[in-house]
Amino acid sequence: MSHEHEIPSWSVRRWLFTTNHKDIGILYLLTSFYFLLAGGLLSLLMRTQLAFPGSSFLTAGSFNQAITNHGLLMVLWFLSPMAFAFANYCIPLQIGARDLAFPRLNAMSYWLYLFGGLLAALGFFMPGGAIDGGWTVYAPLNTIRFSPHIGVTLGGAGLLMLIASVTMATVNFLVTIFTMRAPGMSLSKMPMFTWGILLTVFMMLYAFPSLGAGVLMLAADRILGTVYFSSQEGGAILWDHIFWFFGHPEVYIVLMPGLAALGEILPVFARRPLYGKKIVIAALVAATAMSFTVWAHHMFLTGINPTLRKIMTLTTEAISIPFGVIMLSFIMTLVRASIKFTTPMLFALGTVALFIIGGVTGVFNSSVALDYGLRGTYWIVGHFHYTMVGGAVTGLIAALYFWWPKMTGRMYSERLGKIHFAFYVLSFNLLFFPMHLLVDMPRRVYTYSPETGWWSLNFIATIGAMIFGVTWLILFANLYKSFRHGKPVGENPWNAPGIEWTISSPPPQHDFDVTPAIMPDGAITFSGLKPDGGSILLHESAVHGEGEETHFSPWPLVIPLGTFVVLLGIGLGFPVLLAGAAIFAFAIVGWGRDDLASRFIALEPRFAEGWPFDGVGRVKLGVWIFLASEVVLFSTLIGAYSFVRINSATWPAPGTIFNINHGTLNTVILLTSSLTAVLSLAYARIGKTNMVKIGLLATFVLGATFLANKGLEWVELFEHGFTFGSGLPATAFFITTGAHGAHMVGGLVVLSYLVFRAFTEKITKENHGSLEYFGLYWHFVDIVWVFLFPLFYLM
Amino acid sequence: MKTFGYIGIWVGLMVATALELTIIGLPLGTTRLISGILGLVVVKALLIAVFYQNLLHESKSISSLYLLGLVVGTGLLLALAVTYH
Repeated sequence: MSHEHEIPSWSVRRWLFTTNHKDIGILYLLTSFYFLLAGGLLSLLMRTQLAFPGSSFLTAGSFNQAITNHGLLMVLWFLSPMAFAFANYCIPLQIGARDLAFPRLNAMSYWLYLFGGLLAALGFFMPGGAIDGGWTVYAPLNTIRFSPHIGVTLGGAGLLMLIASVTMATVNFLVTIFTMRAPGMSLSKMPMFTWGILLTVFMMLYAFPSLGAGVLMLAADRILGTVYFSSQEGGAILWDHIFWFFGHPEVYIVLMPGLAALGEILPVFARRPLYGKKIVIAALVAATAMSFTVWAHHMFLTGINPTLRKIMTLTTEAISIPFGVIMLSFIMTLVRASIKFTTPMLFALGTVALFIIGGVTGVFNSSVALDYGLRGTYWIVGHFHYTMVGGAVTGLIAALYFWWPKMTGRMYSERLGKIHFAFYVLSFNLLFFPMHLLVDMPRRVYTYSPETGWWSLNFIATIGAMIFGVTWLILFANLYKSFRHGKPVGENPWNAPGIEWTISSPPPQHDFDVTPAIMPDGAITFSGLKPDGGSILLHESAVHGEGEETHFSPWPLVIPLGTFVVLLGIGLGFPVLLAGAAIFAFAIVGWGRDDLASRFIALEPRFAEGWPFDGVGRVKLGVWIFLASEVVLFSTLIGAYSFVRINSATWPAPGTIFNINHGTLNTVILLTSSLTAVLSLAYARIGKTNMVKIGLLATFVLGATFLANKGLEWVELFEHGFTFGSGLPATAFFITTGAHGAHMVGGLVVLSYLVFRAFTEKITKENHGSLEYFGLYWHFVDIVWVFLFPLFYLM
Repeated sequence: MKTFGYIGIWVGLMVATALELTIIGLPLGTTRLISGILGLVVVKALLIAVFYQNLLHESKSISSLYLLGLVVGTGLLLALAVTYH
């Protein structure tokens, strides 16, 4: 098996078009640093403003933009992407895979992330400035009435691109981890970092759709004039539920990768195995599940149902238990260990200490009674910075120092690393500890009067912030120095276990010459033996497919670029939108043509562990995972409809606005299209290709007829004065059925590609997987309509 | 499943839809009306998922993945539906 020659690292083409997981990991790392610097600069501006009472360094408006974008950039564009940098680089190496399951999708995730951030940042250059209503974008402040400037809309558009990026990444990592593990690597033998990422992406899969639905609803409110968040029945509480259902799992999403990395780092430098690995994994699983049961503790002061508050108090206090177990396990790993105090180990120890402080303050917040005094004060700011910076960021810095030699083949300076650590911990505590003492100072205020007595603690925090900013420069200087002149390292500078430490530093482009396998005793072998003693084929025949593996494609960059221009066009005008749509369409066609000509080759391992999805193909599993997230998306939209309907004193009776005949006809059409779709697949399985073509064409015609009928219905409603802004019944109808219609359009685009494949004889008895995958999606869209029809037309 | 089986499921879906249209015309109370319609909706959704999406023959892990999304989504939906101010 020959390999594509490695493109040199100075090649621009390499970095623009790469689909290799290691390159994408490096791109994520560098880009996350860029957003860290931007978010960090904003925090320094804020701290300068707050250093003295009555300061006019920043205006109130500028401060609001700074605080909002600091939060958004740090949480969404720095923390998780930095974790994904290591996930991209290390996961395939840790599990013995050659790349992620879908390399082009992986590249597209990165470019969507980058362009989403740039789109949101454009708000700074627009009239009225950037998004400025807090990173939580609360309603009704987020509506056009109170925030008319386009910066808010651009922020939302950037968020939508990020959500698309995350959705693709979750599908990719779940399929990779479940289907591409080396022979012998059962789930229990998986490294801790891989476990952490697995659970992180599970949380992302089910949490981000809620945010996606919320942002879509907000975009409709701002652009089309719907009234979900400007109405009294919907408004603040509706947004709160939807946002925090995402928002609380999000804090564990950003935390878990760093904690999981500690599960690798602490044992290496304590020179003993992780204490209670299985218990730690169980605790992480419990925390993952429980993360979805605590969100309303962010809403204790909003007047929600007292029973819900009691439940959320209990669940919030309970979720501290698994994290306590994890911390205890980490500490027990260290007790009586012969510890080597390298820089990664120092930062790992710092993570444990700082996270425990943050966690303890969090337990106070779980009490409704205490929350009445603490909510909205700097105590909360101190709490979440100790957990998210002290826990998540510090853990990721430990991971950076730990895997840096593997990624670059060079060692960093231990001396600079230790200086970094010392100043980091000192300045961190100077910056954030005083906030716990500012328990009577409200959050988000841009200034305060001298009589409050808050000056000294704010001043100390600002000094801490300045030093904390300098520590990042020490880190970057260390990394740069190492990159240019660092001492070369071999495969395993840390004497660490794990497959990634058995290959060169940095690893070759194709990762492995021979598929690794894990023996029953945990030993890693490249000897060509399977764990059951049978022989394993060598690399040349250990993969499906032929030809050279491809590591480049332009379309993962061009599609996000087209999306960026389309979303920009919403603000800049139709010609720009049209240009973006043309770029997008060109890229979709290009991708499809590459597939038809089999130009992109991603080789699959012939032998891989796949439990609990043994025998399920990668693409099929990816589709099912995607559909699982779509369930949450539509549940949120339907939930929002239920919320406003129940809270409304009056609602139009069935048949008074929506024509039941329209709805019934569309139901019959869509159910019939599901029949023709499944019949196409049945005929493909027995090789009746003409019937496949008829079935696919019929499905397309029925789907297009559904959309045409829906379009006619909307025109009729508009003509009768029932438009987007005609109150909550209109809002709920147009947004929910519009989202469904958009999914139909996406399905028809894929279907037209399948019709083309069928008529060019590319769908056969032996090769019809694409029909099955399409069918899964199409039937899901049908199921959604099965719920929408009675909700809007019959009840 | 054979083609006649899929057509049979389609007939079942049509019958369920017709029942939905019939129920709304009956003099039932709101609770019975909503329960009846939601029951039919669940039956229709299950028919499509089990037979058209072929969940009947898929591994339990796939069903669990789908079900987990349903549990999470239903939890949020219920919380939104029952929490009022």
